[in-house]
Amino acid sequence: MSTEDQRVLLLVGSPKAPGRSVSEALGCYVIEKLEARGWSSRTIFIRASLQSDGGQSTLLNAASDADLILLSFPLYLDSLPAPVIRAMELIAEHGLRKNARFAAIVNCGFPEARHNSVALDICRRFADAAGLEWAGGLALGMGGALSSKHLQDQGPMAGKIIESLELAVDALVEGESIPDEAVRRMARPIIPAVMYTAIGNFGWRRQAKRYGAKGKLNDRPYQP
Amino acid sequence: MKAIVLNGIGQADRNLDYVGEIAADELRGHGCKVESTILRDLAIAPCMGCFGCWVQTPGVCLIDDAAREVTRKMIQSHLVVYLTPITFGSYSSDLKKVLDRSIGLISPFFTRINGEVHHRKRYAQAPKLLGVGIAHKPVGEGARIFEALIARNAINMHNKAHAACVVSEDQSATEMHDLMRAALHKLGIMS
Repeated sequence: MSTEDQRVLLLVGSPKAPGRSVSEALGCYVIEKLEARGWSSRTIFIRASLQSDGGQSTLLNAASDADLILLSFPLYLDSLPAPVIRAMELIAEHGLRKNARFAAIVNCGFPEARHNSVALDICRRFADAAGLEWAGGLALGMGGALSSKHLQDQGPMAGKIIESLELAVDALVEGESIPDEAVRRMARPIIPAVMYTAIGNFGWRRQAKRYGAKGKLNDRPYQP
Repeated sequence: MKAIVLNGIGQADRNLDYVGEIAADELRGHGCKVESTILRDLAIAPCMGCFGCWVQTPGVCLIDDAAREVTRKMIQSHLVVYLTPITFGSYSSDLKKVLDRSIGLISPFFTRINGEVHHRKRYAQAPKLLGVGIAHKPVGEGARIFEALIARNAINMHNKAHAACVVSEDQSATEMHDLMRAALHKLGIMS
């Protein structure tokens, strides 16, 4: 399959600023690998793009021009962040000028990757409604163990994630769906769940201490 | 019994507002004191993903807009109703925006429920949850995803009980009333 004229659009679904999210780090890794195979790319941060009519037009035009749309987002309440759903509503209403493929990477702060399964069902359903070919999704648990740094700079914890993304890139370049092995490797725990939750609970206290709120973590401000 | 209906019907679907009236009627018929909130009329910013509602001002979102008041009313109600067009199996962006802003209602700390890790409760009592999804014809897979989403949300938000009710645009008001009544009975809310 010729890849020289293929265009990929990365949609970053995290509401955080550019350079600050795990979602961006995951998506950018795929983009770099596709660019190395001759693809051209474009990256749009969804929350920022929705803040103006011009940004929305840019988003819709970029989606129409893409051969592959890759959405990378954090899990919000078992689903997608509201701005991502808004972008999906707009794309589905607007329609796309050509058939393209759609793939998704979702990361959550729980140890178990299976928390992401409903969100990936939603992505697949969106692809169907928008006339996109569903190329599969990857679900990552323990997203809180990662940072926004480049995956290759995150040490051994990112190893199985990189392996998964490499397999996904190989398949996407060939016009195939993300293989099951990539899904399995992405879903493997980075560290034991007990260790992850202990570190996470400690992390909440440490962050609260920084804001002078350590003693208020269990407050109930809306208690009737 | 206090019930709050979070009406997530967006501007483009305003012709579906009658479903919200049917839901409110049915709730009143079951003895509920109903407050309906049309979310599209409120200026609500999307969540910034900062976790300030957990570590800076625990329980209160840092963004000072209408979502704070909606969130307060949610936890002070006995029943919360998510009313929404089923949007790829999920909620509309108008409804999701306020729900993303409501995570201060739970604790950041982890706990284990049925073998899975979730966040702990913040409040001793969380309301019951009723999801009313409005499906375009054909109803299809979106309804199944919506029901699964309501069930998952109920675990994460520690709702005391949950039910999902999917109605479709071509149903009569009587049929919608019947479906909503069945869902309320599943929640143990009898007329």
